[in-house]
Amino acid sequence: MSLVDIQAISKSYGSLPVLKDVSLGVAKGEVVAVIGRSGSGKSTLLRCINGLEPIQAGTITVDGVRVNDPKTDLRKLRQEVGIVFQSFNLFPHLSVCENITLAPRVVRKQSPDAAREVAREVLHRVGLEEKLDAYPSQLSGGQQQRVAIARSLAMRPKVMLFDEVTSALDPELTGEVLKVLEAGAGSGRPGGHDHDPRHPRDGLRASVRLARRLHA
Amino acid sequence: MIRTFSSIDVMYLVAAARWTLALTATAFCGSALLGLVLAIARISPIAPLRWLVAAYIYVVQGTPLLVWLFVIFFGLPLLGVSVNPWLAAAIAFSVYGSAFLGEIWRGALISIARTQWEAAASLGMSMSQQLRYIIIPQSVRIAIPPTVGFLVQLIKNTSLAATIGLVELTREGQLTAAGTYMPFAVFTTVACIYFVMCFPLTQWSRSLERKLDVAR
Repeated sequence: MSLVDIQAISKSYGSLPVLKDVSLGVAKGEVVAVIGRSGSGKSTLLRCINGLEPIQAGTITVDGVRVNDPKTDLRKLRQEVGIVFQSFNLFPHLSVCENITLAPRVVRKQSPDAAREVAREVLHRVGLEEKLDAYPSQLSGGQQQRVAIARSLAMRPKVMLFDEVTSALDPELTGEVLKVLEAGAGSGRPGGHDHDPRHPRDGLRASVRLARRLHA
Repeated sequence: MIRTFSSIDVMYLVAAARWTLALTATAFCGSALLGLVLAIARISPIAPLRWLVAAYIYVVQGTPLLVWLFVIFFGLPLLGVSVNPWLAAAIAFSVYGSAFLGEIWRGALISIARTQWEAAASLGMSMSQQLRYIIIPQSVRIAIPPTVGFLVQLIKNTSLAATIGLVELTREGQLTAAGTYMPFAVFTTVACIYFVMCFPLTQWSRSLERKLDVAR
């Protein structure tokens, strides 16, 4: 059974249809790239998977849990589904370490020491251990995005969603982020998407085109 | 018997100013507690709660503070609730202040980007955790200058409590003027004492605004 199972979902913003009858299954460890033109609904699809956007029809199941069920505890679900945004969305008033340890501490109830240990480990994976006590404003865009990835990884999610994580970066900076993503694919966390066709390289096993289904 | 306006009268005025400060402090605490609840209720997902709070704010902001003082001080005893001038003033100023602080703080809360809420929610944080760890800490910086400005208004507005017989600075001024028959000298002194209390706060508010501008 798929870890992420999307069955015939439809989503519209008001009268504007965005997703129409989209289905997709992602197995554990699988990397899927969702590609399509601007406005074809790639971000919307990802935002539906962790329940940031409600859907009007169909079902989304993550690890056996129905996302679009009023009884589902979205907070529990989101602990298992990490998302990295196009615009990083780091917390500007917190240091890198606090950005990473906040959710493990207050949501997962880890001790500060344990959370800091995890922060060191995930920062090491994105190659930024020395930035533990820096603030987001002191980092470059690429570094900020790597911290955002580390922040998600620290929750040890079963699924990672990457929403055009390099599109806000200069071409020189996308490389460092892509390297982190490729290394991550080997660690058994599925997910991801980008409209940059160079982006899903070795780890890619499946790709989904969204464009055809739109405005049908 | 007419006596002259002497330094001992000035000492009495300064002593009465303590009650102005005490009323300001009490009213500010009441306004802040109630105002925080109102601000959060105004951005809550529960629509009827938002309407109810909005109605409260419009009514309070659309009616004179003096009328509230009279309603509470002269009106409540008719309903069998006896109130002394101090309690009546504390309640009236808290009601008045909560409506203004509630709006000031709501503005500060909604000035934080939607994406900060989303990033926090995506890490599995509850609504109250998002507010406490992410949204409120960032909005405090924005809220401080207008809050200090409001505090200055509050100090001056406590003079209205003189109308219900609370002996604070203005009431003491009235009594002294009646006894000495030197209203010009007395009320000029009263104005100076208000100025000495308000001016440092105004300056502080200005410098905070400048600091925030630089930070942006």
